[in-house]
Amino acid sequence: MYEDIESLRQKLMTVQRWIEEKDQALEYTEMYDEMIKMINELEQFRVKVK
Amino acid sequence: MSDWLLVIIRGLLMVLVLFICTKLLGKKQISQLSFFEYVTGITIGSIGAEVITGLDRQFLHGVLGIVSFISIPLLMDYLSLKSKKVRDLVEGEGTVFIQQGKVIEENLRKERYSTDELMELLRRKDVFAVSDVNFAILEPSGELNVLLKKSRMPVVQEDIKKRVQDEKPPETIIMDGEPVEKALQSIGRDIEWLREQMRKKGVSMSDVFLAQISQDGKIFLDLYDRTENQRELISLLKECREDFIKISRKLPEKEGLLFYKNAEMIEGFARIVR
Repeated sequence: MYEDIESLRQKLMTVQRWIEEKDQALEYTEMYDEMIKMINELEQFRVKVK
Repeated sequence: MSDWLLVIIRGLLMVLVLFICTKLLGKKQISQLSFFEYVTGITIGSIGAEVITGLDRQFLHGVLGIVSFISIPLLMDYLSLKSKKVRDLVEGEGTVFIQQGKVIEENLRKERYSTDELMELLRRKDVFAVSDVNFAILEPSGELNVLLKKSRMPVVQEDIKKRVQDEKPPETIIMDGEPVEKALQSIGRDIEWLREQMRKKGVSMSDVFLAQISQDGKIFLDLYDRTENQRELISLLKECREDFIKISRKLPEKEGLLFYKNAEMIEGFARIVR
């Protein structure tokens, strides 16, 4: 479970980086904010699971 | 009153008289004029011209002459409508020129048509071989109407042995990357079948802007116009969504539901990228 969550968190961070690097037109700001929230939630959940 | 002014006035009046007369004669085209209408047209024109310039003649006499002349075709038109015999007499009957591929020479001579003229009339109907003709008749209007032999007639739908069903419009089975379940039901298919079809075509449903299936089962696809970057982001989001769903299944209901909601949110983001 821990590995699954960590893997998902890494993927979400990849999405976050993608938006930071490539979203020049700021089209995906809402998505970016939600990604940050999800990453934080998963971080807490990962600690809980551990 | 000077002569030139009188001619102008008579001319204008005669135009009016002839206008009314032609209105009375009806709307037939020149080619459809019967013999009487043809003769009447020439005669009333001549009378009109004579009356306008012949100042020694009474204008009213000219008008009476024209009226009496147009009364003849009007009467003939009326009688033609009432009696077939009169109609045949006035308008004439058609003459058969070709019957079952054989030229009836006697009729050609009777109508004073040469073979060249007959061939010209046939060519105007896109017929180049007399043997292709089943029946050709010269109408009283001078037009040749041709009935081709069965073997030379253009094929129509009814001739085709295969039963042709009425064309139905294609069903839209994917719209904006989403399956249209109602359309799938109407063609007796389900989403699994649709996924399989997309797999065969090497695309996923989310890549498809529009997909339609025709009556004969052919699928037309219109894919999203995406950049490489957009494709990359969608691919990342898809992976995240699948992971959220996978984890949600391993968790207790309450926590699992939260993960599932996140999966739905990610799916929503993927739709925005489209």
